[in-house]
Amino acid sequence: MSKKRIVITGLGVASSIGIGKKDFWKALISAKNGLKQIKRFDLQEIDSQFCYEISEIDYEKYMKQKPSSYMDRGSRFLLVGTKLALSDSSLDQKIDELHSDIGVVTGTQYGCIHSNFDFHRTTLLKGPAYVNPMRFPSTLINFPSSMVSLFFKTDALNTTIASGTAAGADAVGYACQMIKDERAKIILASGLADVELEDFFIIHSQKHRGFQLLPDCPGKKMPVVKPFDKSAEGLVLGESAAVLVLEELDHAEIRGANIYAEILGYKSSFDTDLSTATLKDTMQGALDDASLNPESIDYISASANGWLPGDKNEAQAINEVFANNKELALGSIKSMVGELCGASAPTQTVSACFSINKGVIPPTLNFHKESQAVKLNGLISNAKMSKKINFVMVNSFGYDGNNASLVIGKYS
Amino acid sequence: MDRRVVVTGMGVVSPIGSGIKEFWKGLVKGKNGCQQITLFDTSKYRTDIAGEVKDTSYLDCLTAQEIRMLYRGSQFAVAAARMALEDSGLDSQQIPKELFGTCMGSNTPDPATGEEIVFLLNKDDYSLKPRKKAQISSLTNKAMEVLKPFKFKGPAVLIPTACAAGNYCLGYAYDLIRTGRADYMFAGGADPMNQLGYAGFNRLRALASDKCQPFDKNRKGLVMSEGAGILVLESLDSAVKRNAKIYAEMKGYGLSSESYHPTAPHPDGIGGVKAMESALERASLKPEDIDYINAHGTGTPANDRMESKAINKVFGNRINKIPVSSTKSMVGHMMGAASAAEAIATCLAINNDLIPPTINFEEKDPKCDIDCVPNKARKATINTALSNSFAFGGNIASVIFGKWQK
Repeated sequence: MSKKRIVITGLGVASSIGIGKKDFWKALISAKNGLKQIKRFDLQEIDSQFCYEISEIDYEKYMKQKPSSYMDRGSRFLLVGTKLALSDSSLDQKIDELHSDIGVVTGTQYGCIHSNFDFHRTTLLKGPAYVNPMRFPSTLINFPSSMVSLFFKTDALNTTIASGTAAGADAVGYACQMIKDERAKIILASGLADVELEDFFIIHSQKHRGFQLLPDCPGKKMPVVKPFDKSAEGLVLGESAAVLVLEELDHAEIRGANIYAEILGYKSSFDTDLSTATLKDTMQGALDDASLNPESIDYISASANGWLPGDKNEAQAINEVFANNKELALGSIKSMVGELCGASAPTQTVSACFSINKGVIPPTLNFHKESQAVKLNGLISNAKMSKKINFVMVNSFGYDGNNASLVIGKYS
Repeated sequence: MDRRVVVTGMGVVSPIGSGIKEFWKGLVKGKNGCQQITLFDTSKYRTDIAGEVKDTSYLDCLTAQEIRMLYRGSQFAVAAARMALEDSGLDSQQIPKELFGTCMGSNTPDPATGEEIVFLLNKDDYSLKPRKKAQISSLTNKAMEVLKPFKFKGPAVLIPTACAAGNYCLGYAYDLIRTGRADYMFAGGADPMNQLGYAGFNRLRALASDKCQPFDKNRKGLVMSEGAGILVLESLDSAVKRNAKIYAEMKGYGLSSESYHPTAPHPDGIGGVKAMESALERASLKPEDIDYINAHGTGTPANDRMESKAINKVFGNRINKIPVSSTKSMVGHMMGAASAAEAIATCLAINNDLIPPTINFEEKDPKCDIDCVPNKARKATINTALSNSFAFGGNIASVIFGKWQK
């Protein structure tokens, strides 16, 4: 049986450090920090008031029309990201012809959490007669994905994956399976994270079970996100919509598409104990799936986000799996874009595609060798690094217990 | 080489009974699970009926701590998972933990947690002291909840494709086992009764005021309900090797996306046609091989008309020979758990060669030209059966099960 190969032929991203792949990459390698104090809603009661926020997006500029009134903020990000990805892969003119071959798979933690709570709030506090029926679909987690399929008229399939912080990686894994099984030739695989008051509330509440994720920012002092650092104080949430055009290799070659990279391996797991052993199995599983050994990986785009227990665990697991890889480089872009939850892996993958094609690894901000939490096996730097890169591992390890790793390689 | 996938365990919590024995007994007798709502005040709504889980026997499947800590929807899920695992005869201690995963369907972030957060935020109370605060972390991911008690470490994925979620999850789990990424999977869905959904359907005027009457000329709408359905999927080799009871083989599934409207289905059911045809093709079956269809059959005017049309399109002149029933007439619309419960009903129908009826059927609708097995269960040999599900956002999935023969 012939094994189908899956390649990335388009990238679209809306992030706190730039809209569009070029701006995003330029920002990454120039160490731009997307951290902003939140003004959209009042966070007086919460000790952390910062977020890697997407400044208002010029929706009409990208979409050439006004957004529907019932379309929430997150869906707008995802539509813009998708539009950019489609034009990047030269598919935007071909959708009419290919609509039944194109599917949509979106990874997201909550979907449009704010729309959901808003609808709920109206129902409970004002009364059910006051809800806007057009907003009812946006209470569902699958709404952003459905908006994409509705807007671009793609008919092959439309699935949302909501496996917590690993949702984006699981969405990519699922999309690959769908292409291998010929359910679609092209899939717009994406990750979406928008940050709303409720996200802060939920994460803040963890503190009360002795599980502090957010850094305290007394006097509105801007937090410093320090992946892998022993003085790290916590993660900071970020916003992103990252869209990968995944395509079956033959299809991409026949239409002469530009190929960024190939998806080679994927493994997903779950462990509430957040044990090192499970993370090792996850990375090893992705390597096995890609038929690669640990020594072939040139760069790990780490999941580390400045939440110390998670970062230590990942460092330990990397050290053990990659013990014999003397050339390994690693880094975390979350120091510039934040913890993107369901959007993490697709956003990291956009960055990884550039790393593969440009031979450059973005910096890990605020990383200092002398204060690393666990002595890391692998080169990591707070400045960008040049390196020939053939194979990248993208990690998405969550504080919620969901984990997944992807292996991406240079297309040859 | 692809592995064959079979169903070896099932667990269900539903308005007509919990556990597959009670559930099946209810389905065969045509038990109506939809009654007046007791869980919240309905004075501000147009209607007041729903399928609530009133029989609390499912609580016997939970530990005291789970009863204390878990919200209603998660309690349903964990109880159904325990029932399914016990039914499968698998010993959770003996199974390699990383080979057991789950895929669960659910509609929205947990509405009970949501309700609590709405009230807390309204009071500007950020201290979050509710007794169930631990569950906040798994606000959406019920999949995590069902793996936790057993310490299973396979993939834990939630697919929130609304009312079709259960079938999507079955598809996901099927693929993982078929391709060897997992050996055992819980696949299903769970959703609790809640005001968020009830308010939405109420405002869309999609709710029936007295009963759920799928395919009836005078049907008025759906009846929202709650519960959980979970199936244990396993590779055929593993099931045969341990001499397990096999309910059915999962033969394949079809997906489609209707980029038509955020809530309404395409009037010709083009997405349904595509999903059914794709499921048949992937199962290497022809329309004439299907002996029974468990319809999505919500009881809304638009859905049942569209679905009948789609089934007619796929099954053509055989249409009057294929029984098509809607178990939602009895169970109500369990939202994210609906198609999981229907998959269980379908497997039980195959096992017992007995078709559950569409109850509350009074007058035939000429626009629903199908044999809906009105009001009484019917004996028939069922070798292969198909189950449909449609959802908001054009998420459509059809699943096919077949009798397993040695």
